Amino acid sequence: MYTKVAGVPEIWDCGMSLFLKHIIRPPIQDHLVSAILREIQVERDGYVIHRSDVKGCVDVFLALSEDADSPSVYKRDLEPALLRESEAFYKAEGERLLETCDAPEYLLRVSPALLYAWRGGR
Amino acid sequence: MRGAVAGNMRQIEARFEAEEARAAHYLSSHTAAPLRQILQDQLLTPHLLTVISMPNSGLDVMIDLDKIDDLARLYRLFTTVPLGLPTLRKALKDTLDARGKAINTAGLAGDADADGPDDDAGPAAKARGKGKVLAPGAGAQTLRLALKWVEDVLALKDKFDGVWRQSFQSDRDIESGLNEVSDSARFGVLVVR
Repeated sequence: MYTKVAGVPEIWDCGMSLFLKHIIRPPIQDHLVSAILREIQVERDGYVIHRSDVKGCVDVFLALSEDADSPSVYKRDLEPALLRESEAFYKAEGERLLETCDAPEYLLRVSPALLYAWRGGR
Repeated sequence: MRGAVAGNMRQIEARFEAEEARAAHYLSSHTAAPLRQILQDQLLTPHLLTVISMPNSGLDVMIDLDKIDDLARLYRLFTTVPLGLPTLRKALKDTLDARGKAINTAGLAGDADADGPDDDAGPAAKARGKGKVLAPGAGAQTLRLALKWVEDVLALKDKFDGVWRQSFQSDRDIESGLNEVSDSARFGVLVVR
């Protein structure tokens, strides 16, 4: 109640900042970020993950920031890394999709024998 | 193989939905927009033309086989990126133009066989004129060709009308593109009305 008057942080903010300073810090933070990214990758590859676990970590990052005005740890650290990873993944995915589109075409064109075999086999 | 592009479009659409759900369920809702942007920039925009003109499974084949759902998906995805609709419009114009030319060429080739080359009137005028020439034998042959031409053109119009209505949500922009082709002298008035 008297913290504002005394010019010191309120107990909640103080707790958050201490938590950020002592618990969420390198190397723990980096481990967390890469674990989250890994889980997302696993899910993109078509497997089921524990979304609630990831959500828990993300929520912590969303709630924490260096001070009241600065962006959350999510915005500062996790999101840029996530978008970087996503960009690389979907770039490769775009090329892969084109190749699967093109591959039968390409094979048939380079190999008349294959075309013959393919038609003969049906 | 025939469905390669359609399959890709399905996968891409599923990716969009998955990322949307991801952002909503366990990331921040602010991340949805940049993720969508990445998908558009990486999966759609660079490959629009390649995908649409893919032989054996691209736009032409989808239209040939009346793949209404696949075409609708193509339209949905393409309209999410700025270059998509112009690319689709151009490809549709090209394929309609090529199909129209094919019908005309078939008609003219048959015509030449029947009674030699004619004057320079458009096929529509020619078809109508020929219908009134009542020389037996050659006349019947010409009439049959003329009727065939009319039937082919009407069938083409029906096909594209159907695709436009069912797959492209009666898109005005696409309609004007198609009308540009069918209004051109080549088709006469038959296609549009």
